[in-house]
Amino acid sequence: MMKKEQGHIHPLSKVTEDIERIFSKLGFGIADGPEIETEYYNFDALNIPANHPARDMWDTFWLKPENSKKLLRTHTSPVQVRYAETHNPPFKIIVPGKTYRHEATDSTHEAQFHQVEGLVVGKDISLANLRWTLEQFFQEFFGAGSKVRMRPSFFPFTEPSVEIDVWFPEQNKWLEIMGAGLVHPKVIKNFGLDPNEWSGYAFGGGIERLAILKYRVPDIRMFASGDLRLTNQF
Amino acid sequence: MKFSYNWIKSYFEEPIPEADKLADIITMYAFEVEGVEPRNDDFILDISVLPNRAHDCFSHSGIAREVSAVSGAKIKQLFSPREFEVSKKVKTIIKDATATPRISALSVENITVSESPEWMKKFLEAVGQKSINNIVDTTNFVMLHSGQPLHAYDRAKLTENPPTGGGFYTLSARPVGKGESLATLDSKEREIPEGAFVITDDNRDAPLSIAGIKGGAESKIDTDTKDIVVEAASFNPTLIRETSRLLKLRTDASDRFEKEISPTLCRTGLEEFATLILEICPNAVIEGMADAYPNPQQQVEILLPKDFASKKLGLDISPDKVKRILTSLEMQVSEEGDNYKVLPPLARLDLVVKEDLAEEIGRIYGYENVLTKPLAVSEVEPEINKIVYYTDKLRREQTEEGYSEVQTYSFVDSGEVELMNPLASDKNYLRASMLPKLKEAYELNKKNKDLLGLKEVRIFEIGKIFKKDREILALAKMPDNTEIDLDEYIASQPNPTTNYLLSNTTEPKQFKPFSQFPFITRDIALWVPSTTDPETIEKLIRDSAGELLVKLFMFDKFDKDRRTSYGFRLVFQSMDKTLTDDEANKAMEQVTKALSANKDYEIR
Repeated sequence: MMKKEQGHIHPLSKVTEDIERIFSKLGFGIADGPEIETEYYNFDALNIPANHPARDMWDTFWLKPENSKKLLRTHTSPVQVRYAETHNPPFKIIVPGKTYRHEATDSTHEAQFHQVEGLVVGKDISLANLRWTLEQFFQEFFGAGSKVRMRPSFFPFTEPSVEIDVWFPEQNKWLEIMGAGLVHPKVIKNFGLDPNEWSGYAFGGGIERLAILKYRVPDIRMFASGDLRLTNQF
Repeated sequence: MKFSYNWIKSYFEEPIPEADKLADIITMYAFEVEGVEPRNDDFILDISVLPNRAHDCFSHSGIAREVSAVSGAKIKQLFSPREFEVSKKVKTIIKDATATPRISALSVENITVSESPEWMKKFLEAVGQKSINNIVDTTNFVMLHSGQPLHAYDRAKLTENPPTGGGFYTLSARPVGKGESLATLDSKEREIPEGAFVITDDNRDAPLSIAGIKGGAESKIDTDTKDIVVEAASFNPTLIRETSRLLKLRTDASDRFEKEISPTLCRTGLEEFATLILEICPNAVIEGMADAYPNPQQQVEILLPKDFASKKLGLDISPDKVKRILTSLEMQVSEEGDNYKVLPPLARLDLVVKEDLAEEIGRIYGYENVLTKPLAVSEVEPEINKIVYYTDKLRREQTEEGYSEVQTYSFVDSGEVELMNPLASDKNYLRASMLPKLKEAYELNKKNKDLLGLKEVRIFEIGKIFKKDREILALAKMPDNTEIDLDEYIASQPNPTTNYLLSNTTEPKQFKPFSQFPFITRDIALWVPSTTDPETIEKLIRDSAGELLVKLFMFDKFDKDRRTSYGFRLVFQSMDKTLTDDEANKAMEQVTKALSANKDYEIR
């Protein structure tokens, strides 16, 4: 009688698949890792020592018992360290995944969200490589009119560090999209590599943010609401 | 942090860009400016100084130096260095050089406490600093100008030793004693947490202030104060951060100390204070300076290959330009073959390795100059991620079975893994199963079944569940109420050999807002000739039902005697209010009218 109804995949899954598809065409692999992380991989290995004000940049959910030093990962960067420890360079990876920040929830902030990070390690990697990669990505993801610009920022695990803004033709303005930079020599050492021989760049941004900008979803809380009135539109 | 445009301007002889333009320049080359607010004849810039630059840019002089480096405007030397006699009245003693690397003090006599000059009051008030009196204001001015917090004590309230005149007043610092409390300047009696340090009147070992955070009420400057001791100290940043956290007290001083400041600023802070106080109180006498600084900060030397910045940043920049940029940032640059030997200013604690210099060069030169360079093509295809391959595959298989994907929260009120700091008391566990929240989502979606145009609600979620010792990737489904371990399933599958499934690149859909108000459904069934295209009926219904129709779908169809019966469900809803039955009925009347107009249709 009626044709079998086709279900819908979640808009965040759709965006993640788009991102995976675009980067795989650029020769990137995909890495994944645990949502429960250790303090070492989430912070120390990334040059974010304990008791340092830089840790304030990430409000963290800690797990009981206190001395276990376990937390819910605040970014997918720990997977970069895990991957680099077990794979020889050169390599290019993206790491999409669920992340958590101890933040009050409102229409633009969520405690549970998704990030995608990228890491390229090779010889003589420069910001020019980073610019090329992001331009390739955004032109495919947002459309041919997108442009990329970089301005100064700070992350303990990159040096130089930049904010990446993307030009949105339909809104006629620059929008902050992600952070990026050249991997800090201390972190290259934590990868088990010699920073005089190997260099790299990294970038990271929120998948919800990309979905909100691309699909104009008005409230970030809709994504985890379980509501098909969102999912079935896509 | 708020900065006064006029104050910044006072560092320059020549004109600098207008406030809005200056904000753009600072954003693109130094720090993001969140806002520019006009205030009387000034503009207040809200600048997000990056965390690794607090040590030199939580100050107007620091921002002015940035403006100079970025715009090329020549900066004025507002203060000249001064020599001091060794004080014969004031001493400083360090008991713990790790907690307090430097304690210095300026002894000033014969001051007169009065109102501050107008120009100083204006600058202070522009950035939200209350004017108190000329002495306290000058300490605050120096802090907001140079980044070094100062604190002034009324010398008469300290103990002289020996007390017969000709003795010394001595400042020191030590951990707070058990149960020791202090009445602080803001008229609060504070119990000081264990481990915190206090500045002491060493001759009677009594606390004067909470070190690096807040001064005490007892030793404050009064209207009849004549002689003062001005403290300029350096503190261990972790100590200040922890104390501030335990006290639940943040001050302008603690904000700066917890980010670590160069101890060299103690000296310049006191020199600046001396210059200002002699202007404000011409009869004042700088009696001398006391200084305890056992381990002076070492000068960093960085060897920078001349082409390092070009290579790292991926831009064309001549070694000469590199040298000029570093010099504009007050670094000393000398040649050493193919390298530059660079000595950064002592205040710049963030410049340690050559990558730090590359960042300085890149941002001042301008990241817009970074070229574009493709990545080298790798000879080896990256391995295919097995989990991604199979979850993509499973996702698709579920949708083909009519299941739609949802996501729910990981935080729940019971489970095997507990959080130390949950956001709410009923969100203190990580889910050991997705099913409870999935069931809630199922009930919600069942209520909206008609709005969604679904005969049945079928949903699934792929995500992590958290057991006591491990996290598991799982697939949960409703109404089946099943949850299967995907880690196990995927491990049992063969390794994929082709690239993972790629989603279709259909045109991105725009989100359409949905209403929070209840909806009303109405059904209509009619006989039509079997040759009729159902789309024709649908169009007729849509055109006549009006804008309150949000969903239309066919729920029934059967054939008999060369006629077909169609059953349609209409869903009415308003974006702004709850609809009445009356409004739904009116719309149905229009639909019935339109369908009846065709003689071949028979409404059942």
